[in-house]
Amino acid sequence: MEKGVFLGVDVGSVSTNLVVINGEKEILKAIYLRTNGRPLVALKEGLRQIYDQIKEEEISGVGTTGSGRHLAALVLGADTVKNEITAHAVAASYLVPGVRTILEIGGQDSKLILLKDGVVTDFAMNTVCAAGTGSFLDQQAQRLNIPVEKFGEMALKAQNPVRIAGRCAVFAESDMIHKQQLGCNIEDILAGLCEALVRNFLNNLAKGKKLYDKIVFQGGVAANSGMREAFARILGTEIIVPPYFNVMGALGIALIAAFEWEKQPYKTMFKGFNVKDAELKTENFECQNCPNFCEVVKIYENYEVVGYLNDRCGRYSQMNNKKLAGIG
Amino acid sequence: MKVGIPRGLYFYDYYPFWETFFQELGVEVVTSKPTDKEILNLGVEAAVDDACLPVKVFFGHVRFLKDQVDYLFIPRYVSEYRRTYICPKFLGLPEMIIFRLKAPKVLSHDLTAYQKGADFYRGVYVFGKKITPNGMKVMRATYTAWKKQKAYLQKKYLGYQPQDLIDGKQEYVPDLKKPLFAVVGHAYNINDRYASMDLIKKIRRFGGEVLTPDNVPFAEAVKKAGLLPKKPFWSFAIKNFGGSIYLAENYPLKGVINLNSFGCGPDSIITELTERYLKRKFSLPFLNLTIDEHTGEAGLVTRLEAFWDMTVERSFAGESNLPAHG
Repeated sequence: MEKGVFLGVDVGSVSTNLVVINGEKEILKAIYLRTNGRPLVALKEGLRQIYDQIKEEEISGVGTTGSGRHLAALVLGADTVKNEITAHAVAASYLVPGVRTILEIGGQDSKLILLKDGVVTDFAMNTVCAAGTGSFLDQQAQRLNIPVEKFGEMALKAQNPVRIAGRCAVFAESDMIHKQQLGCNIEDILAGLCEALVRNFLNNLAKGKKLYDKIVFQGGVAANSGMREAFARILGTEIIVPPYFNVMGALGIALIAAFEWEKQPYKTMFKGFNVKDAELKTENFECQNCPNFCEVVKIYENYEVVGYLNDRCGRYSQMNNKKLAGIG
Repeated sequence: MKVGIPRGLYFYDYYPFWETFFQELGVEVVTSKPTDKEILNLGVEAAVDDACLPVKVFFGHVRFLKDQVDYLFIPRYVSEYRRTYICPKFLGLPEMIIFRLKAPKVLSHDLTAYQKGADFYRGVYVFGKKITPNGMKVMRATYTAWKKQKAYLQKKYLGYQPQDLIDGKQEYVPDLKKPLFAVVGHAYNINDRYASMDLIKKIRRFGGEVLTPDNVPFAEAVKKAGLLPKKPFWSFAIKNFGGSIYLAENYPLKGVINLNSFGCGPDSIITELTERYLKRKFSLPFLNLTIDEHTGEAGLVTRLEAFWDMTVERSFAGESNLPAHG
């Protein structure tokens, strides 16, 4: 079997990313799209964008990750389905060999991953609360009527960052409003917010863990220079933001698909680019077979059922292909 | 006469004992079904809002059973072992149920082994006398029940989980040669398949096997708990801290998974102490999972998968010797 290219798909809460790498693991294409609450639409759009450059026959493997990985796997026909923590760690240690600490802040969650000799030794993820993640920054930028891309730039201009309560997004917001009504200028408030989020991240996730150099900062929020600066200042060390920092999950899962192929060549289950034009629909129903009343999701492709998700007992999802059912 | 035993809190610790005890006295025993959405909803509606998840679940089981039985069996566990106490919510449990659910038919009495272990059976005797005036019959029932409980404990020391022995339709035989994980937490959380999102089965489905503090004799756990500067007075704290140290010393563990219910006071301290001790002494990977009323499993599955990748399938990230990109 000839080794072609590998497609990695990361369906996150805020962004959906696609990365294509070739057999030598060079990145051919990296796409960052907003999920906008419709993962399937974003997925189709992503496929449309790589369709011109990549031939269907070339694809040797497909991997999916992110919180929507099972959905994407069913629709695409994925060979590898992995959690985003592993994917991020693989991508970071590939682009930045010798990395010891990964700070990852995405749309809904933030992660801290510690590695030694390229092996993950510890990780932490934010708990139930999404304070201090990308969507909160997004919200605040919107409230202040600043494009989120400009957020970091403005924060860097601050002379005297104000102190903002960072433990909870609701507290942070009311604190910001208080400071704003006192007349503090907006740059100082933004810089203060960045510092508060970094403090919150370190309090919540690091919890006294020792963070060794090299420290890599990735995920969508790494685009924000204000956050990068705040991390560097508080940790007192250099922060590396790798190229492709915003599609690291997709890159990681593409690499995993490639590594698995190298270990044991497989025939891909990729369904082909037709999916980009297919009519994808989902339907929820409440299963009545036991008192758990699971809200099962049924996925249609061109009016044909391709799979089920979210049943606790596996009554429906065991009909999906075996590899997926194993993850349940 | 029908006595209902709710499938919550101390159910998984003492069910074989009470089942045998009541049956020997000629009483029919009814249990509620394993926790599901209906039970949880019943419980959350009725329980005080700041109670922890297991108490809410217990309320659900009681409401489910309430009208099917003559008496609800809700003893007041005060102390399970000498010089230890149980979490205060157990002390107030009968009253909470009686006043909150207007359930008058509650069979309750204190069970305490604080002064000496035999006192526990004094409490058991009182229960028996409520059912039959024949003291000899009560003593015989207690002895048979005790033998049953002892057999149950022996099974647990071999690595069986309470849910395998009580809930399982056919008996599951644990295979301790598989990658081993210690799941540390309260038995009523770990064994509740709905509340714990079937944590044990998920680990087994990955290909691992599970050990819990239930698999450790209490006497061993107490010895290990002596490593703390001061012995905790909660028996659960002793079981969890001492139990995890015992498991780490005696089995080739891959990692420790701690299961907490949100808002548990004692656990907030004990988890921290356990994590620090395990990391310092054994450098064991530690994963903390907090459960509440969530039904979305994605968060738990992601963490569990990543933990599995990190501890067992270490090869994925082991490619650091590859040339850097570009």
